[in-house]
Amino acid sequence: MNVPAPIKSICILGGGTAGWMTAAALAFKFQNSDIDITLVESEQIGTVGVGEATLPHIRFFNQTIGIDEAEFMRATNATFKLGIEFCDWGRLGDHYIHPFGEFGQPVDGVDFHHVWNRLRRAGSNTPLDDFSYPIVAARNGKFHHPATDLFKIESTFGYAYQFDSILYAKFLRKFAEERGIIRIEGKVVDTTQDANTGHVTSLTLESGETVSAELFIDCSGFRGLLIEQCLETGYQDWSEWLPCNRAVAVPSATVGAIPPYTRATARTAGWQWRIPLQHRTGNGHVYCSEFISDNEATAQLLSHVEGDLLADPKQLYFKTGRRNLFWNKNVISIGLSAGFLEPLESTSIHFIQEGITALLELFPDTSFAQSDKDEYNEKMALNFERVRDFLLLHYVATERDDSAMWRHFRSLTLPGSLQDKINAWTHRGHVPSYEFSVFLPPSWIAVFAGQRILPNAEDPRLGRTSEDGLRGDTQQLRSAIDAAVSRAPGHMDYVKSIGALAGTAG
Amino acid sequence: MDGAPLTSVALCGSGLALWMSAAAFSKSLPNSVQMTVVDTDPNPASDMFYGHVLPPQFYDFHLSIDLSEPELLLNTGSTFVFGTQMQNWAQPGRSWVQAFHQPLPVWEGVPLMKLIQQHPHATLQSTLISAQAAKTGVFAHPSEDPEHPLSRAEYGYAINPAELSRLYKAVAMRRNLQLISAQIETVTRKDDTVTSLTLTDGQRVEADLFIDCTGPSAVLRAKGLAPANKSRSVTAKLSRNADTPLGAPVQRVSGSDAGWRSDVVLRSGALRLTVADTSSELDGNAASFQIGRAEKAWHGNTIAIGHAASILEPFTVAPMKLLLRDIERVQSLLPVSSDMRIEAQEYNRAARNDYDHASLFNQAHFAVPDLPDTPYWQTAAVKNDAPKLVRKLTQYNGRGYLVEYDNEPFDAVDWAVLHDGMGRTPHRADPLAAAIDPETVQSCLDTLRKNIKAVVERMPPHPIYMSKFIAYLHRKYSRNG
Repeated sequence: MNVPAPIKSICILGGGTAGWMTAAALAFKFQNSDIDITLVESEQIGTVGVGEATLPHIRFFNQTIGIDEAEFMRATNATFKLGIEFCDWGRLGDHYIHPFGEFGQPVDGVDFHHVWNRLRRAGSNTPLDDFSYPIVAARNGKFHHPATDLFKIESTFGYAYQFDSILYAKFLRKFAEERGIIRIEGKVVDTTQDANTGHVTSLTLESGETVSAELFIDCSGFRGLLIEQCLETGYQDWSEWLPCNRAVAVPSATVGAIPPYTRATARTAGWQWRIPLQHRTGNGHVYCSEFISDNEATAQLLSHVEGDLLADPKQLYFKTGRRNLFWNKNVISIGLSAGFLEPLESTSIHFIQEGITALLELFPDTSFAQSDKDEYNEKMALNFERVRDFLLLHYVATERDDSAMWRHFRSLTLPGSLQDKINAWTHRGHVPSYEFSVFLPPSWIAVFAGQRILPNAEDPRLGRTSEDGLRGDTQQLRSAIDAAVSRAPGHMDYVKSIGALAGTAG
Repeated sequence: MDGAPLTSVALCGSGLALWMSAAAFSKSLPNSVQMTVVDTDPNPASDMFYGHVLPPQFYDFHLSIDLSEPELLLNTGSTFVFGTQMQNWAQPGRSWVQAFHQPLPVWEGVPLMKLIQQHPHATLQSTLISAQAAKTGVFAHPSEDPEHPLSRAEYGYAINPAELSRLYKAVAMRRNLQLISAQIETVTRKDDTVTSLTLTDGQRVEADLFIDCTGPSAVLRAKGLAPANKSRSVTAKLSRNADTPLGAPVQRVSGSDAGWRSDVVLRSGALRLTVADTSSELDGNAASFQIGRAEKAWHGNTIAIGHAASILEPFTVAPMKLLLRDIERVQSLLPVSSDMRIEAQEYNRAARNDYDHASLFNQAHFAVPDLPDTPYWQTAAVKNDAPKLVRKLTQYNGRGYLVEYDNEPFDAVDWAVLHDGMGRTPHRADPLAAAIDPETVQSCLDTLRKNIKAVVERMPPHPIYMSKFIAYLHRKYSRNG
């Protein structure tokens, strides 16, 4: 076996969520090695830091590098998240929650949503939401960790966090610096490339200092300072499918109890998020500039913010899509430099995590084998494409036609892969499944059912069980869920009980 | 809902595919759907080409049709297998146990596989308890205690398709179904739809949905349908020896210049399958098989399953895995009405993926530079350039990375064991694996191997375990009536 020289120096450019998550993961992985890891960031350049809601996978990230949950929650003003509530998507006035967990339990090998659909078609008007423990808990403002006894209904969910991502970056910075990461303050003014390979060899900072490394991780945000400005990797524009291209964000004081879920409300030219943290609520309006002006978008956002504003609205510009190559030469782009899909399903931080995981699986040596890059690029491209289809579903699974944007989506020709999924679902409640994606069938079912795309039939195998029998079983399930939720602690009481309240000693 | 509701299903064909699907349908079809079984041949010779080993996934399938392991063992001559002992595969001396095994451990955040790629080839085998037990000839049921080394083992069964078909038939007949024993004389169609079958006894069978279990001849397949995606042909012959005593819990597959042969020993005798290129003259009941798959397994109102849909060589458990997947796929997409276009589209997409992925695993058995210069091996190697296989091999050969596609029939462990068995060695060490102290790896490895060895030494020989287990089952079931 050939052992090419290992990488001895890594430079991470950019200190936002992506930069410090990458730094923390590498610091942990290489804590006993002699690899030099530096992170270059400039206080003059702000970070976007709006990706404040996460997916359950973040827990695995934190656990792997040994982060204590309560300590992390105190440091980032984090709250628990059981899912996302979508309002006004199928029709004005509609609402449903996309939970982290499955609906009900299979009956004779047939997934529960078929049971629900059969009873629905027989006249039942109980929403699918009522058969999900995390949804009912979320609506009642309850939270606890999943029970370890897998036979208990209280075990049937996953959870994530809502946190201040700037504080999370700060928390990870401390973690990474304690494990030997060197942070260099400075603004990059120039890059040097190897004349033969085109590899980036060093960065020159405003101070004149140069930072050399064998491997560069570009976490410089939308600009893609290395991956794009230096290497000109190119970008696939997905505006055709996901045309929203701007956002305006503003924090506000929280009104009332802090809910254990994120909210995404459809508007006339986009949608608005509400992310409740311990000390404030994050709000933002993601919109398409073709259908609304910036001023109108801000006005629309502010008219729907519940509490007092805590800062001036902040404007963001983006183009949905992904980099042609996520890994080009000796530069790997992670975070917004790799691509951006609107944060409708809290995937921004998740893509960072996927990038880090793939990087560790395919970590290069100084030979920078083309096959490593090819595999990394294939994996990340698949991640992005599958999420794109799922996000697009939210816009097309609708009866709305009350504005130009909704009429645009209603006349859109969908990607074949998405159209096939919709057809299989409406025909018989079937969700064609794949193994490798962040959103698996239960997520698709939640959005379909929540946005009025309903199956015309169900799995015929259910025909073996009588409708009365199914009705009895589902009633029992509902009662079990309701009883368990009524026993469950309130969200913030629980946060406090585990020592996760910010400003306390823990 | 477009179209009339489904009221009748006819399963037509013979042997394992017919009775396995009948057993599954007898459990899952709604009572409102009439089920007819047309048995065209009580003992089809082509069933030998499913092979003689059920992979571990059949355990759950049997539970789903209310067939317990005691019933299986008491009603057939089946025995336990921990995998397949490959011997002299494509080259003298290339031998390994393609063991059934749970996912491999991860040490210090790095998969064991990557840590031992720098070690000699026997290393991976020595960490698989199922491989070691198979080699030693011992068996015991895997432990339910996750800390016990034997909990990592998985097992399947060596079976005789004819015996198993009879048992599945008995399970199927627990339901009220119409059974007809006759040959199919004519298939009547209207456009894409089969409207009826006329049988040799003069009966006509009509149904909304037909399941074609007629084996390689795929009798119900429409003429003029896009040609099947087929490649080479091979010849196969089955021989039996009633007197072979029970031995190790393993199937043996041995390579030769002309092809390969598989040996299993059941309680009812030994089965030997010999496979060679079509120019070889195998005497006796030899039959020829063309490797490949139907372009569309589901066409109109007819679904071809098992050999009627696809054929792969049974030197791995690929054919059994595909048959099981076919049946599960039909069940999950049982049409809701006579308008089956959407079910057919989804079924064909999934069937194509399953076949392609299973065939990658078989094809990887030919992707080495030192194949014998004989027709069997040289013809088989033609498809080594399948892009998905090239990606898997490039990544493994490059740095020992295991590429996985969606829902593959063979998982990462199967692939790891295969690559290692085939003698593939990554060109480069994985940098993260190389960074871990070799002494730590060696000490973990020594402990793991010592624990496995200690357990294997205490396990009883397979024949003894089997005879005691059967005696116990006899006592238990005779006492309980």
